[in-house]
Amino acid sequence: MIKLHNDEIKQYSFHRHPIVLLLPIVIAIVLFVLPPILYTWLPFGSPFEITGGAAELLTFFYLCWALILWLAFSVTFIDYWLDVWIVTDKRLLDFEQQGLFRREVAVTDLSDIEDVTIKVKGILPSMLDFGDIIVQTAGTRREFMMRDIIKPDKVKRIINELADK
Amino acid sequence: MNNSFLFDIKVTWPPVIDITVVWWLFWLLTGVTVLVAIIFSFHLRNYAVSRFSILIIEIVFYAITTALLLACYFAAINFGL
Repeated sequence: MIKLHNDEIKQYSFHRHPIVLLLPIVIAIVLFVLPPILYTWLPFGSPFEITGGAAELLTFFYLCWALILWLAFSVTFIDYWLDVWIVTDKRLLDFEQQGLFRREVAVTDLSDIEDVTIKVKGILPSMLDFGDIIVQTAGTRREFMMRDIIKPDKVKRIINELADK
Repeated sequence: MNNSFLFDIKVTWPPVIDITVVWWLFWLLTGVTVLVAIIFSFHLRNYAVSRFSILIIEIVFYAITTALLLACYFAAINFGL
């Protein structure tokens, strides 16, 4: 777990909107139901010689396929869940997970924040109220990009209020 | 053509899928699953999210993964009978 300074208080933390998981979920469901549909509709013969029950072997392969899909979805979920932004009364912390083995952690003092911009593009983000927040800072890392944040207006207001204190 | 290598696996044409091949696939998949599970837990325990959410996510992940692995195991046993 991340350790904050002794005199630092966590104010707010946020993830990306759960809607970004919709596409991976739909793909996983399609790939899950595809093999039985193909098997039912396409009358192709097996290129393999099977010793034992064919139905049991197909069940085995289908369950293996389901396990592979589940593991792939879990990795996608980790990528989503571990993208976290934390605002304390002193700093803004940006944790970004990219795949299983790459992680970026960036920190800036709230006093270094120069400008906070929000971008809401598209029908879905407008309807569901999520978008990107870009924080310009005077620090080494000039720009903090928070993608697909829920209620970006509210988050922008919170960051501005804390930075003004 | 009928060559033997790596214990009892035989390379033939057309390919034969017997219980040995099924068990090899099962243990390979189990190995990959355990590896992903270790990485999963390692990541979750070293991060900036709440312990309660980590606990819930881990319970769901391990429950579904174990259920699927067990189902694969019993399907392999059924095939071998």
